[in-house]
Amino acid sequence: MIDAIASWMLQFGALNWLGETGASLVAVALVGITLFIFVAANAIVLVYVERKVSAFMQVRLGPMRVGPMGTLQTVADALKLLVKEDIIPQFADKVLFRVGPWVILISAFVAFAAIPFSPTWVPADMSIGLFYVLSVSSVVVIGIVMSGWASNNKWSLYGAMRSAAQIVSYEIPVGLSLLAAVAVVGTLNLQELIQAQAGVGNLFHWIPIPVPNWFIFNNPFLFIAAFVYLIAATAEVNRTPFDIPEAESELVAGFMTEFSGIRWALFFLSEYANAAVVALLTAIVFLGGWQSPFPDIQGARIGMSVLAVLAIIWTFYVKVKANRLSIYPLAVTVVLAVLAWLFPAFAQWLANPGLLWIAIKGGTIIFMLMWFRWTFPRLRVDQLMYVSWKVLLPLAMINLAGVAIWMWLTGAINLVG
Amino acid sequence: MHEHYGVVLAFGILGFILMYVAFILQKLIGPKNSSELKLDTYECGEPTEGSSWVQFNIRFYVIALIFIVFDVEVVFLFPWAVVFKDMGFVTFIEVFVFLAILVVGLAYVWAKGDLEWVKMKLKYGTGRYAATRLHESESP
Amino acid sequence: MGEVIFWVIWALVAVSAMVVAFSKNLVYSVFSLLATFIGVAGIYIFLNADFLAVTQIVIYVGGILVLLVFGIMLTNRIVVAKITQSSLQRTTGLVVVGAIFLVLVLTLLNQTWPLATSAAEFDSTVNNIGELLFGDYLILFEVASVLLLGALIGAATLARKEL
Repeated sequence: MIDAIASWMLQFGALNWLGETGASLVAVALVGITLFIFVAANAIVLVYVERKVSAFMQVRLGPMRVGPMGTLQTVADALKLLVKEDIIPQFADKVLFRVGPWVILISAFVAFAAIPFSPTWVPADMSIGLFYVLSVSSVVVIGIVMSGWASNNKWSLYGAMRSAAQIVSYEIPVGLSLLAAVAVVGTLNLQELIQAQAGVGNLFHWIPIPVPNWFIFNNPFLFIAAFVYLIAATAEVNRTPFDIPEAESELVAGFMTEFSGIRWALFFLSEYANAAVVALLTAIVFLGGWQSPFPDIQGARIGMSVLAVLAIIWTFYVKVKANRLSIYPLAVTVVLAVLAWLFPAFAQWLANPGLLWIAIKGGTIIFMLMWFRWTFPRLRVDQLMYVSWKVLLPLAMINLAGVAIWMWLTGAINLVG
Repeated sequence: MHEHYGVVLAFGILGFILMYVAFILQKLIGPKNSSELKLDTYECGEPTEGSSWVQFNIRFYVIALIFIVFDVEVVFLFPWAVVFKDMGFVTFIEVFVFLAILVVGLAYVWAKGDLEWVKMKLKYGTGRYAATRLHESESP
Repeated sequence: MGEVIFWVIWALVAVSAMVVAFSKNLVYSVFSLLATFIGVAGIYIFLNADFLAVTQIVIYVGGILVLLVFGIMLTNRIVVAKITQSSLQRTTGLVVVGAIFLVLVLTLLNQTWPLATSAAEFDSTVNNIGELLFGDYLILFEVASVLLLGALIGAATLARKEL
């Protein structure tokens, strides 16, 4: 991607003075700035969405005052953070207090370098991309402990220590469940992982239900592994129900307690950046990344029609159960289905792989994370350790062995060769 | 290969520079009227008692020890997953041997109670709480 | 440009390692290791060992460093802890350290280090590592995993004793 942009820039005579290296550097800078803007916008949009989703789940309205439907609320909040006083407590360790948040932010941002957004858009197409993303996310824990310790505040230190214990505990199930998917194709390159998930096939290769060839539908063990990964990753990014490190009722705000203003914004950005990395990684490894669920124009038409039928059933269900007419899902899906049947170009667009699909899949996972928040009560620390070491870890090991056996039984690997 | 990691380095530096712009903006437009009270440690309004840098429970250390061993084993499994499809019988058997070793380790620490966060085994309290049934309590 | 980056990383490793060794504050020593580990990972990249570099981050930063942090949190009064050794066996110490230094320097000098500043065209080391681990070095791999099991059991037992 970097090379493509660089050679594209060198086509213009006016930029020739840059030379090969200069053009590459400018290209990297452009991509980096774009991604940084994406990370910042991601946090601002997600906070708004999270507040709205939370509100609707609790039959409230959420932010309504600033801008139409409150859409400018988080922009105003971000501006407010900028004009707040920068406070470093007098008993804090001044050096580590300044460094800690940066470690978290940079390790969260650098993870995006290996994430493929479309068949061609990937800043660094590393051959060990998956392992790389896992490794840089494990640096976050050091930043958390650093800022917690530096605050010289009991809440902060307790929160940081709990957070560190939690993150390291859940790293093992995360690694093992991702490995189960890697074993199926034998590559750690994220692009190759996605390319292996093209097309449509039978569910688990033998139940005659047509599903996309995503790894979650590849075999029953990977189906479980996807959920193990999602649960463990939720804990890794400290989101409810695993948000003990910042449990408001016991630890104020955990390791963030002493941080304010723009310094706190670093946590705020990296928290949502990490959530986005987890969502994108789930989409890439288990849900086919930028692959479209539809194989061709006809597939897109049929798929959208199935979706519209599901929406009709959903509408009836809501009408009968809650006596409420929920018209929007129905209207949107019917319009999309009609459009797909009328305009082949639109159907083709839906069938094309690209940014659209990874955005939809990642967005769905993020919505699920928000949904978890208002569905599950917070775990206690001992329950947290129980879930990680005694439920998810054995399950992830069984999955790995199961994938190996499944591949042998279905003939995907040849034992004598 | 190197250009990929060059991108990573560039991203790290860029992330720092871009966010630092916000810090400079804050320095320019943010208020600066600090006071003794503002710089105090926030512990819910109470005056701070003692240092926060206290001794922590050993169980954090135990969890980290167990984690490192499992982490190393997971890292060993990454090359395994990459070559699993191509190498046939050896890698197929190997994963079970390896997982068996992991299971033995897990079973050992599980049985010995090292994974227990709450180590207290008292069913009833002592002293004036002798009659009350204890719930699992947690102290850091 | 590759060479400049290499020397910057080298300087980072050297300076942060000095901080680790000479800092009066135990906590600074530990967090300074973060820079050392990341710098060493960068040097691995220059040696074309990408898998090793990422492993370095996962195990040393994500594991060992967390263990060290938890370790120093076990000590009381971290900030004022006296960490200089008052041992008087300076001569013995010097001999041992000097011998190790000599061996390291000799190894370094006798080794050719292919510094890959030009973009050497090869993909990744992970396939080769996998093939070697499950081919030629299968027995060693087995022994290593049993060793890890022993380490786990030993570590758990030792940590439990301190309760």
